[in-house]
Amino acid sequence: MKKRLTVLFVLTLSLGIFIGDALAAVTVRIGAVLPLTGPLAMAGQRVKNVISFAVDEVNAQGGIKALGGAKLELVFGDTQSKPEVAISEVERLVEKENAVILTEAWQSFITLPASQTAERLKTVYYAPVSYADNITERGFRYTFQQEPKASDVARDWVRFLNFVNAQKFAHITKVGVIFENTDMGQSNAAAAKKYLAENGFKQVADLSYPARASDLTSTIAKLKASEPEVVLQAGYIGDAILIAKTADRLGLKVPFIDNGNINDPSYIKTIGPIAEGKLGINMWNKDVPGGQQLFEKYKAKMGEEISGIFVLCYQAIWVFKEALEKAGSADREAVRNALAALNIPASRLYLPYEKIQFNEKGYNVGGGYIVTQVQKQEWVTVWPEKFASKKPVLK
Amino acid sequence: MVSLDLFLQAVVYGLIMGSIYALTSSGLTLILGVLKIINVSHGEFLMLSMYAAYYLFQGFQIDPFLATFLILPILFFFGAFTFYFFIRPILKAPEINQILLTIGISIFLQNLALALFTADFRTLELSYSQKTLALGKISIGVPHFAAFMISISVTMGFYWVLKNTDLGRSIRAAAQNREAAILFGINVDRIYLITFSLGAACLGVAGPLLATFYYVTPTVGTVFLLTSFVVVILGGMGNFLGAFFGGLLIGLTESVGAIFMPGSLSPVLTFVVLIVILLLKPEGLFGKRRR
Repeated sequence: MKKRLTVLFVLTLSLGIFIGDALAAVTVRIGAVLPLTGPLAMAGQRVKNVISFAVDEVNAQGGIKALGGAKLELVFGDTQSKPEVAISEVERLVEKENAVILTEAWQSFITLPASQTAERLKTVYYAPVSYADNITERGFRYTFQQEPKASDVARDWVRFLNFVNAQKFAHITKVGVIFENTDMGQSNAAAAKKYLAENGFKQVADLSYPARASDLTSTIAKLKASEPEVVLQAGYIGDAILIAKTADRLGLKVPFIDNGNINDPSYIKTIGPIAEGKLGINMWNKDVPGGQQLFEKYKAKMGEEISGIFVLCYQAIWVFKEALEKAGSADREAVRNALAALNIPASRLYLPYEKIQFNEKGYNVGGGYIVTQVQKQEWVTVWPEKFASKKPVLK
Repeated sequence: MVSLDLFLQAVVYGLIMGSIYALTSSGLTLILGVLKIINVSHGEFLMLSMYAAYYLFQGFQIDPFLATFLILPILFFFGAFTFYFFIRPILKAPEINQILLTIGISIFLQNLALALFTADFRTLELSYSQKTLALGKISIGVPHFAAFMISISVTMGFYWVLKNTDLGRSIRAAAQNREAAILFGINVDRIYLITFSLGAACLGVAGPLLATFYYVTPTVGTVFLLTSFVVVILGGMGNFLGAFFGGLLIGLTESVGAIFMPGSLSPVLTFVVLIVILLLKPEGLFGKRRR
């Protein structure tokens, strides 16, 4: 009797483990390594909300059909905005948490070491936000970049200036550039120099500043002294707020075009009327096709407003879904190959891109930027014409 | 070529930011001089006083400059609380343990702020936030000017207290020689408590002042912490005048440096100044050589 009970117990246990294992295989884990604490915690927390929202949507629509309806599950790591912490978090998410795809550290200078670690662990590192020029220039197989490069920010800055001049919204010849001194700012600024020169603009200022400065009066005073007609600004949101207030105080009232970091809803909320007229490179705005819908359903469910840079992360989750469907497997190598072979047309995208298709370096060749402006305390798209809902106002 | 106007503008703002550094560093140098404790959570006390100013303004429309009268005592008591429960028990512990504790307090406070206030950047938009005063061709922001006047007054007031009152003399005595102070009947434990709280109270003034023109976020303390330590070391640890002039010097270095060099190098200049001064006078500008 006792022997039979033991056998029955062991069988049940094994069955339980077997079923447990099978159930475990019914989720695919996405590792999100974000700056959840530290100076960019605001961005990190917002990304967490956005991708959780997207994953819930994917799961509600049936999960990954090619894997029998397997659900996506997010596992989080906190980079604390420190490269060495990011590296250990990547290792933890891959080795202990079985993440099949890793995504976004946010800052380019953290993405670089994090994706290098992912490469060593042969796991996809998908960057929907980081865009320093060298991310896909390292000969890696597992790093994918969804966003146009940092240098394309400058390319589009100058394309916008050409547009403004051609359409006679203003007559710009002298341009000033200010930038924060980490990878992002330096990439933007170096490219701006090149594109401005190639297009016949006179660059009157090329000023760097420390990212967490306590005061930017000297830098803005120097900028003002160089008499620019337009200023191109490459910084994060904290410095952007400081720059806007300092420029206003010093009487520098020319149009500022930011590199994509000020389209957070808190920008207009914190500085109010000073935000009026500010321009920025953007990835998405709620006036692009399908934008209003996404904006409203996100606000209804999460109680906050979604903005351009976070829709990039939203899009990434849908790209993962397509890759997993295509791969038909949660094997890291199969997922990597499926991503490399994807070609998602504009009609299936939430972003104002031509398509999502990665070249052999893992770089998405179909991406593109828009330019938005604060008009009447709201962001509106002013360029390119096919997405613009209003004309730019450059005084 | 750099114009005179640009240079003078930089000098003015250098002095303004320098006065803030002087205020934050005075508290730190006193804590360092009297308690011999490196308080890494100094920046977080500043951050909390900035949030206090923000919420008093948002909730009750109290102007931050007036709110200083409320926030100074709040920070004083918060400092006393922190000292009594966390610092006092470890006063005799090895220095590394003390530093670890204050680092722990720092991390705790940053994350508490993150949880309570979220990571959103906040600014105080006062009716005069963007107004300026003109001094010839130089423009000075109204909140910056007021912050400068108040910082200087409070620091000078603090200095007067240290020099001319019994309390001040007791503090200086405890800093110079703890055992001798006890022998002379000074209640050193009480002095320690008061000194730490006064150090926190300095930040209770600096915080609202800063909040009138700088953004508030859980990690804002770290922007000022390192500079405060540099000023304290440069001026001579425990030396109040050293913190005052050191603060002004570093403020000027950062601001004027950014005029002549690429802005991102001005923190480098700060450390170059520190290194040069320490090479010439290792005990700091006003420090006394240890025999």
